[in-house]
Amino acid sequence: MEEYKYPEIFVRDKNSNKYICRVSDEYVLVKEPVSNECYGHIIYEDILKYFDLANPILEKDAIVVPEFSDEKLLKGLFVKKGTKLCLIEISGYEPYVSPREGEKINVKDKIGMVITNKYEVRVIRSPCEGVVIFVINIVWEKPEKYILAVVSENDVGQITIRKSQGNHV
Amino acid sequence: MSDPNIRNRKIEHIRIVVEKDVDFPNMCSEIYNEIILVHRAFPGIDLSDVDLSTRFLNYELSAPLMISGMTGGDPLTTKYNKKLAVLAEEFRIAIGVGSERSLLIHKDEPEIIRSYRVVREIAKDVPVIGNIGANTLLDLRNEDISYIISSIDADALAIHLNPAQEAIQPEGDTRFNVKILERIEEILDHICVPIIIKEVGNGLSYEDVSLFYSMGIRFFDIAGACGTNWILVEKYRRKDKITTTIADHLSSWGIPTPIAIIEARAAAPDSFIIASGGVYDGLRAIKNIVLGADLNGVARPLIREIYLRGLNAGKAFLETMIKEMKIVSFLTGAKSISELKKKPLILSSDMLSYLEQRGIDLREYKEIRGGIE
Ligand SMILES: Cc1cc2nc3c(=O)[nH]c(=O)nc-3n(C[C@H](O)[C@H](O)[C@H](O)COP(=O)(O)O)c2cc1C
Repeated sequence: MEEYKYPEIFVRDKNSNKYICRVSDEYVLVKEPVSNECYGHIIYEDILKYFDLANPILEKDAIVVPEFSDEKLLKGLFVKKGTKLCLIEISGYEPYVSPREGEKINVKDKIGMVITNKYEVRVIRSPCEGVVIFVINIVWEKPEKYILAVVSENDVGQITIRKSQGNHV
Repeated sequence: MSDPNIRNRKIEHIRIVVEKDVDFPNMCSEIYNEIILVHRAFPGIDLSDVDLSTRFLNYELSAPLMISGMTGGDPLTTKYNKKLAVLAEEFRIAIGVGSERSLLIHKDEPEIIRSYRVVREIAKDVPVIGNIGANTLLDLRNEDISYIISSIDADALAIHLNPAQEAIQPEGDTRFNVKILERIEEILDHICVPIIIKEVGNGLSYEDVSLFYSMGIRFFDIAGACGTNWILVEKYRRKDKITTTIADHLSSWGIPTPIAIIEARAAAPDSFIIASGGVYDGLRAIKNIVLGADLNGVARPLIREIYLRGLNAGKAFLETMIKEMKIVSFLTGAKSISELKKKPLILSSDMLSYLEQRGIDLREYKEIRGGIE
């Protein structure tokens, strides 16, 4: 059976029950903060609380792990506080988004579709260019929506996260 | 994509379809009997005036009929495709090939290419339709799609939806998610022949047709639940208790052909609608036209006739069917397809209740059932 992988977000200085901490030049996944640069795990959709929506920027440093799993080494995407966000809203009866966190997109790329309540398909094209950093699914609103946050490629740092031994999370 | 069993499966499918009773229970005879066309004691025309010729994909067909896509992909299937193509050419009706996936898996094998290509070589003057599964589109590149079209000079590409079959099939590929719509969008941009969205015998619904219609597709083969039943076919291939039990419970799952015609017509008023699934006689074929279909598709009876009794039996089947279509048309007083589409249609109260519950307005449906020019 294929291993279950899902995206997770960690936000700087957030209290949580698991953290990614920077220890010297390394990022480790731990249960308790072990350095003064730690990122606490949050419920994915809560990242919206760290957006300044008026002038879309990210208000805290954050790390996205697009494919969180039991692997010993995980890939992460690092984005800094103050990073400009290009936000795309996709909403409708059955919205569907194709790119995942970490994927590069260009203006006019097909990034999703919406099936309307009349069973019509609308193709959504991207107004932004860059790397998709968050794909937030807002299921509690009707119609259901997705918000995609896209950032400039230069604003994304690639990091590797090691799971700390003896301190399993 | 490499599925070494795909060739054996083709042969196995034909054998089961031919040898076992794999039609839907009762083949919708009740529903069809309750669809009434009005008999005209004075038709106002001569039988010899009846001309059922139909335009389809820029060809003139002698009757609104096609041989639905069935086979190809193994050298052993060549002889069947050859005979089916002879029938199509001789009767001047359209023809489809079976799924061309094996053409992509065995790209350099001339015998495999020939098993499909033979259809175009023989059926020169009628539409030839390519075929591929919607789920497999996720693995195929646009060039692959161009290849399956060009290798048989197809006039259209049928993309089949067969979730029920795949769910029961031992090696079933049950990916039927929205990504497929995205792929079809891309393919529409890439190819220059029309796409036909088709089921394989469980029927297209209003919702299905509407989705693809909104993407610009205007050809649908509703392949309803009245004829070949893939849940039963796969049941014979898979002997385990769980699958057999499920297959038995689902043996009448699907949208019956006449209902799927109405659903499709309501969702896609100006589209070309093909009715297949248990259309085994001329009376049903004409009822389908009056209900809103533009063309009828036949699969199982033809492969059965040519497999068990040979080409002449296939000819006799089509001859009977077309003659019966003409007689029924004559008895309604219609000398052409366009006249047939305007003839009165009486539906049962069950059918009316169904339409009401589906939100299909009877009056609107009756106005558009003949299609919009
Ligand atoms: C032996 C056989 C093989 C078939 N293979 C395919 C196929 O590869 N692709 C497809 O779209 N439909 C396939 N079909 C489905 C037919 O095209 C048709 O839609 C369906 O069988 C309903 O028609 P019928 O009741 O006249 O058989 C196959 C049918 C038969 C009998």
